[in-house]
Amino acid sequence: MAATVASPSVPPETLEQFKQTWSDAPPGLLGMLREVNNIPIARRYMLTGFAFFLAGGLLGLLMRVQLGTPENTFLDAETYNQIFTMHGTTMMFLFVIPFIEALANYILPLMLGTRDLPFPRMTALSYWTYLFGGIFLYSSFLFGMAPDGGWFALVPLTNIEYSPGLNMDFWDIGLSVAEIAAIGAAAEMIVAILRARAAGMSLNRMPIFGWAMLVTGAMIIFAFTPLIVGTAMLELDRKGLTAFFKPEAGGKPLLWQHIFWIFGHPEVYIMFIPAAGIVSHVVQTLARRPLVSYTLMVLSIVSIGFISFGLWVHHMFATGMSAVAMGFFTAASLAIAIPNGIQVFGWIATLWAGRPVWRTPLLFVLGFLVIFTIGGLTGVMVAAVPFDWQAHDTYFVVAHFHYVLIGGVVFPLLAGMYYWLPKITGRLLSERLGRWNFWLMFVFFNVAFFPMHISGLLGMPRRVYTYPAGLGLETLNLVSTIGAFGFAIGVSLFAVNVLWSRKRGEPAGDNPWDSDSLEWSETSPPPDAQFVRIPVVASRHPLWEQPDLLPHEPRLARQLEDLHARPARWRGSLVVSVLDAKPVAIAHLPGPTLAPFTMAVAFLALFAWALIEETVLLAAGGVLAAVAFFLWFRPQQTETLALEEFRGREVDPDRLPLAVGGPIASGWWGMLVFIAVLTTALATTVTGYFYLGDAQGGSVLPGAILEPGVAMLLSIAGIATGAWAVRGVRRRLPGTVRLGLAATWVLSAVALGLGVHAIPWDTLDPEHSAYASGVLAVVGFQWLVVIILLVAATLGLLWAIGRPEDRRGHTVAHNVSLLATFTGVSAAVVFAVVYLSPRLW
Amino acid sequence: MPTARGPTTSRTRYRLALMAAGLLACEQNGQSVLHPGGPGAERIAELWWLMLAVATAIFLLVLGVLIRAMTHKGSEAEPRTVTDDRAHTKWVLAGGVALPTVILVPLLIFTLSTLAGLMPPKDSTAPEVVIAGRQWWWDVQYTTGDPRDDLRTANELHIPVGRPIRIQLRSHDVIHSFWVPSLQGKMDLVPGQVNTTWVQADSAGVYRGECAEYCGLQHARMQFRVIALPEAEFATWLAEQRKPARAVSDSAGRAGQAVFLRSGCAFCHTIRGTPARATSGPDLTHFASRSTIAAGTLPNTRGHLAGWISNPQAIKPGNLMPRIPLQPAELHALLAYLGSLR
Amino acid sequence: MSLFLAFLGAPVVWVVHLAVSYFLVALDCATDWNGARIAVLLVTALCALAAGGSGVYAWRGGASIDPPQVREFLVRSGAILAALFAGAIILSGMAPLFLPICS
Repeated sequence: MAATVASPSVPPETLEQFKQTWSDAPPGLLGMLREVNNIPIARRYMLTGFAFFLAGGLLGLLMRVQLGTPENTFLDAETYNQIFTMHGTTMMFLFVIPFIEALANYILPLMLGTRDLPFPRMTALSYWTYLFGGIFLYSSFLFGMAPDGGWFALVPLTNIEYSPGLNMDFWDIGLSVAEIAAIGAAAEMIVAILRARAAGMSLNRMPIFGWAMLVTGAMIIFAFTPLIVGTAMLELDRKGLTAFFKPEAGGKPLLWQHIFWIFGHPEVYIMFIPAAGIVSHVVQTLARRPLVSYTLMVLSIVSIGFISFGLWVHHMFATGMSAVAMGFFTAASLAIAIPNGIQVFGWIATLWAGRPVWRTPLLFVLGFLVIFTIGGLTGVMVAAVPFDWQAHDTYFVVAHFHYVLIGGVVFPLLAGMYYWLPKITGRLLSERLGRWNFWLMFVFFNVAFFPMHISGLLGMPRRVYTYPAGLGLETLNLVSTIGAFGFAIGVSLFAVNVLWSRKRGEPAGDNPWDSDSLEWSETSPPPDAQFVRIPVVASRHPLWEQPDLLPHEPRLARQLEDLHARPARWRGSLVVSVLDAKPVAIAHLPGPTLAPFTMAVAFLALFAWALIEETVLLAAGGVLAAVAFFLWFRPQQTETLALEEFRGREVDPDRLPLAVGGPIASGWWGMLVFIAVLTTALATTVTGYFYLGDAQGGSVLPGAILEPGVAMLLSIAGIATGAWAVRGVRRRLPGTVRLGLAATWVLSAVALGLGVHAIPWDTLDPEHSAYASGVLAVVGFQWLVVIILLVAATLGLLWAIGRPEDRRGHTVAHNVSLLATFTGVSAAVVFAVVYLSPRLW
Repeated sequence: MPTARGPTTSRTRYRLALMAAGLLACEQNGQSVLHPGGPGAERIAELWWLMLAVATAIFLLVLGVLIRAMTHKGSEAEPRTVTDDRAHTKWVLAGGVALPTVILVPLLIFTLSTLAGLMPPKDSTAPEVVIAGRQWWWDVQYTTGDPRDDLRTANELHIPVGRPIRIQLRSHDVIHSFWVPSLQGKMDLVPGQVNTTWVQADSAGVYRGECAEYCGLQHARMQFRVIALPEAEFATWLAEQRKPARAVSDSAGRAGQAVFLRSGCAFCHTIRGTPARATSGPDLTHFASRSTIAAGTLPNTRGHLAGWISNPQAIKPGNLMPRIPLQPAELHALLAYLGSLR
Repeated sequence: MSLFLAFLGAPVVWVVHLAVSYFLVALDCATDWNGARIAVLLVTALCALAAGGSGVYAWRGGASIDPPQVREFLVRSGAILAALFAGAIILSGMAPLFLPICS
């Protein structure tokens, strides 16, 4: 019933060429470094993520050995502190989210019925950056300098004064690398889900995992960005350049906590929501009926996404905040139980109403439901401020978050693995090993973590390398340790099963679970050239409810004809409208290139320079970045080929245009996501400024306002010159385009110069004044944005001068205009905040 | 919950019920949330038992529904052609919206009113206590408004039974957290700000406490004791602590004091009544009256003290007391002297 | 625009409510003004109405969205989200009824 056979209208040479175009070649090491296709990258990404899971788990086992008996000397204090920090950091930054992003990178395009993600080079960059970030972080163990400040690195403990070694610099810088990877992957997912779906897959027909990743992507943008700003602030403090978090200079330790937790709380839902999406798929397929109330399930996900941004203060209930403010956050923390409850009952109702097939994926779903419910209930308990005052920072809360994270994320991930690995490898996993895997993990998880609720209530705090005997904690801790080892054996059975199935697993076939979604219409494993025919979707459950995936309407058939085993000589995929997935254009996707790998190496060099300040690293990083930039942004042969093929085609209403030249291009949407990142970063720095401002009366007015005022006006004028360039594109006036871009460039450069010059550098002392640091954060952000605009405008000018007719240059001009608009608005905001607001108080 | 017999009796019965629940749960270890020793922890324990009961009921409900869903024999008709799911949706709304709302709204109200009842007392609670956190010990000061009455001790908080004592919390370095599980919820000590908490013990005894915010290398060894005394004994204790150190009466003591003053101890420690007036380390004026050394790390006995002074870094690596080499005779004298500082 | 209003109006109002309430409380504690309790209750009522209102708007309107199946989905979604977030706003706004503003 799946339509993967080429229709007679496609000559076999075309089909052959199409397959060639889509395979990442040549093989070997160089081939691997150049790969951009989501399938091989996602496989590697998942393996790397799983490796970090095992590493983090090993660290956890070491902790449990130390805590198995009181006053143990297996690990000394410093080693234990490094190990617990790295355990948390690994699990939170190097395992869960990368693994989920990897799984999404693999499955989502298949599920959405598209050939690849919209920014393949970004996919590769995300992976290499993540790999290097993780290696960078773990290299700290080799020097005995692993981070030791806890995974959330509270200040002032992690200020240079109390953490003088390089340990926390490894953490801070290593994280920045991982953050870039996460945001890049998120941008891709958002644009993919909105614009790269099968024809006819309107939003209300989109699989739940698609909704889950859309919400997750948006959450990553709004949550990770404050963390990037915060970790940058911490690193600047540690280098002695600023004083955001130094109390003696007016800095505020609680600012770090606000910034960290406005990331940290959504972070756990960023982990949970994809897991919930996976559960919905497994339940629906293995209950052999549609999910009860798709609408409610989707809305639960959206609600959880929003509400999770209103809970962060519940991590700070013991810091001395006003009771009523804490009351707001208790209410929100309780309210989130409602959408979670809808999901849990939705899954149970689906199982009740269906005819469940009790195979391993469903077992893991059961385990998830039991463990996550317990974790959710203890979550409601700690949401109540009075009880949190007892449970916070004790083993009670350690139990709570392991119940929700292992139960609520790891178990669903394993369910997803048992469900989708047959698609990925082409072989089923062993049911028998799967049952042992599940039961060992389920039983020993509870053995390990349930006693921690009790030891927390018996007064055992978190992050202690030992505890005194005679307090009733010995047995509880010993039981936890035994449980941890049992759990580890359970986990390793998963690895054994995967290895076993490679050789001995039963061949899976296309659709071993008789599932409804599009990924099961391709072969197992899927070919490099996915979807020779673009599938057409007419219902929420295409493989259950449709006789085939072919277009039955003549106009649609005509439009999709151009994508049937085509384009043959370059990689093309369908672009659709957001709401109802009507075909809109054909996008060109880049083929293999060394640009992403080179860029990732450049990042690594630059971050290593930030760590040890060896100038040669700065030079190397700079050179590599320039090379990568050049490789990335130079005109691509395949794209030139595409443009030639499409020249003169735009007049035909029944044939799709090429997605280039403005808002139709994926890059334009990517720029919008980038602007969302910049907006969030601006909001973070401005909030930090106001938070720090009242420390010293905040009346250190940086000089007169003439120069900065003019700078602001010039940036605002840039909005107009950018729009002017776009007007030139729309009206095919290359001279106007050049003028508009050049004017934008000049205005930005002058604005930058004036802005920098306006700062009274001799009197402003950021090293000893938190307020001055806050000022510099806000204006410094603006300067960074202007520099990015200058780079973009330079790129635009190169196209406008070198190849004025080339529509790729038009896309760049559109993007420059978008960026210039943001820059103008942010200039006004920055001016109002730094130069006007002190005059008002 | 007032009854016809009056609120006091029902309050006592309530307390007994709480205690029984705690005993059932596990042994009393001096630092248990489930064995409240005062109104602060009691109010929190009430909330806890209520939430535990509700949570258990909900868990059993969800488990029951799940098991039923697993064992329930659905109709053999092909369910994929389902077009009307309203019946099932009703159950999802019942379980996922109605049930949580009905439980969460009263829970929120109860939580907020419990929180209101945990606010620090507004009137003065003489003496006022200021606790400053340092890596890795507790600097405890009692003030009454008259600086002559101020006294400093370390790692122990003495309070009178039956009335609340307000505590101001500050930090000299990083964030710490003050936590006496049997008496009160925790409150952080944040550098650059002053937080306020309070404790009240309803019976005499020793209540253990610890630092509950990771504060560096020896966070695990930053314990303290709250010692509740009947009012009269507390007054006696306070008066004794206010006095400067006992004058040395014998030659051993004099020799010990001399060792103390010349070996660098006075660079960090105060002994009121001697020239030693430094404040970066604990006040030792009445050191022998305290039960532990190094914030709960060791019992305060002569043998342990000897080990501590000889090599503090071996016992609590990384702590801020340096190793000071002493001759055995010097150590002997010093121990005698410190032992006399009751 | 109407699409966003119908679908996301209620959650956005909830975010605004949280931010404004928090700000009012901070202002009350930092200055001499003592009107936060009344102000927050007022803001709560307004925001709950606004959130509910966006649900009604979604239910009635939404005619501008073209394909019928998507329209129905978005309309129902907007209404349900509005109910949920109006409830969350009211829950949040209960805090000043029980607790002192500054402590």
